[in-house]
Amino acid sequence: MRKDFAAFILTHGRPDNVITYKTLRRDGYTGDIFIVIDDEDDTADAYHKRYGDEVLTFNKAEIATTFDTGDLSTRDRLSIVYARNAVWKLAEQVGVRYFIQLDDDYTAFSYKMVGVKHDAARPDYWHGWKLKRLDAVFEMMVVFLEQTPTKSIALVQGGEQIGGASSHMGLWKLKRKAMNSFICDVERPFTFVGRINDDVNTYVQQGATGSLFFTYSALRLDQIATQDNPGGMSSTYRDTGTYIKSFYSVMYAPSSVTIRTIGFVSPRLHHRVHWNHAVPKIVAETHRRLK
Amino acid sequence: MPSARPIRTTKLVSLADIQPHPENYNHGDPDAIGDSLDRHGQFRAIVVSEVTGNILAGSHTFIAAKQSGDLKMLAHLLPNLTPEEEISIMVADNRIADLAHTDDHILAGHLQTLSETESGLVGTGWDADNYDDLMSDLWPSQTFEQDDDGKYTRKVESPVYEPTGERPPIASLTDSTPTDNLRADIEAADLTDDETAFLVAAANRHTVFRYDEIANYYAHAPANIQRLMEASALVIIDFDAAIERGFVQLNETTAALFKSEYPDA
Repeated sequence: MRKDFAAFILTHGRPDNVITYKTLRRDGYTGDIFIVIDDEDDTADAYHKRYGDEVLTFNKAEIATTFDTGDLSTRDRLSIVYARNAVWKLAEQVGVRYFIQLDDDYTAFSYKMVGVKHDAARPDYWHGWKLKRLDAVFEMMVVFLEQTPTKSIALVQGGEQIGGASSHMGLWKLKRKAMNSFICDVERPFTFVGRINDDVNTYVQQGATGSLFFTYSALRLDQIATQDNPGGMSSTYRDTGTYIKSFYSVMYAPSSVTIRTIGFVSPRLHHRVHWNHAVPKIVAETHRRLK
Repeated sequence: MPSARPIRTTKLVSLADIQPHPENYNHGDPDAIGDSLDRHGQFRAIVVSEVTGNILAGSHTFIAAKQSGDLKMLAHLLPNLTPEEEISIMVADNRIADLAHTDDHILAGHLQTLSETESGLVGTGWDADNYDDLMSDLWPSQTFEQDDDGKYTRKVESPVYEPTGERPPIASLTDSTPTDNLRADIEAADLTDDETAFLVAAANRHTVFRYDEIANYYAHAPANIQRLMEASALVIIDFDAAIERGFVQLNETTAALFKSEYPDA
């Protein structure tokens, strides 16, 4: 793995359950891994005991002054946005230019490809295929960052492939969003905004003014459902559900994000991004007049 | 022919008062049903034996609702059933559903329509994998294309937008209706000039930009307007086709990596 790259796993309160660490190693990542915790984590000692020098701690109160949380809440600072914004400085601290920042509960990386798998009688169909060469995958995505003006590129989440506007995953495509597995360049920094739903807030707010965020459809990661894994963001979502979460993104992009209800028996609110209103189109240079 | 056991009533029943039939042999998927309940609500009443509270149809809907924390469900209550009649209804409900024949072409059309909505396939019992299996079985050429060796590969959708049509009228590039409504309220209020200016600026955040039309307009605009549009990030120019080429390289490298890991795939 190239030496100017590292993986940062953002975690809080579950030192014995940093699933992503094992997943990275199992799936072929040989580079540096850093466990990012905050200085308000009661389980910090356990993290240090288990991961030693790989643990990096950031000052949560300090980072909280550097970005807009989108609210006036002083109740807690449990959301992941603090760690997301702290990673930039930590990356400089450990001397890498490129990094991926990941949640701590990823269980698998895989390809979404066409191929013969279990059933030779059906010669061509596609599925998730477990990745074994994660080094090469990350290096490939860094090359994409080097070659394009992209702020961040991400792998698609397993659940994200099911539905969503223009989400037909039979295609090789780049979606104009990035969530949960941000591959970034310290020389092209951006700030995550909003205490909750920070990924959506960030790609709609900054995407509207020309920042490029991409999710690559051919590579996928799987994650434990938020509510199933104790610690982390679970308590925040349990407290507020998707009700408050969704409104954060509306505040940041009121012309392109709306709220809708899903469900009837237990209706809840969820955000909807209207993509044609959210981000400017990428247009070939051939359409550009010189005079 | 009159039904042998007419439904006595259909009403909301407490989940505490009913239970799955103890001899139910069918194993459903409460998680999939839960997703459906989230999306659709309960669109069909479950069937309950009024005397025993045994659920004869909809046991897993009951389990999913209970897991979601629901307290009541809509149920058809059937009166005075014997134990044999309870089992007969339960068996019939399961078996008759099994006897149904699916027209995959019509189904695939519905799934494709749904997959293009915001909620996608969530709650339908279908997911991306089995949907794509179905699509590739029925219409391999629509999802896939064949390479020079005759093997199927996925189609590619470029991230670069291709402007189309004549130059659209400038009025079609945005929708200021929400902004105009806010502005009318602001201007009708008793405010200082500074307050009005601030609130009008805030109201402008609600103006909807139609980026496809904006890109179409850009393609016809003179150079000086194009520069201003670029400066406002109304379009993103793919200089030297960097994004397009980067995307192609991503695909080629991914395909090569996949091939190296799964040479027989």
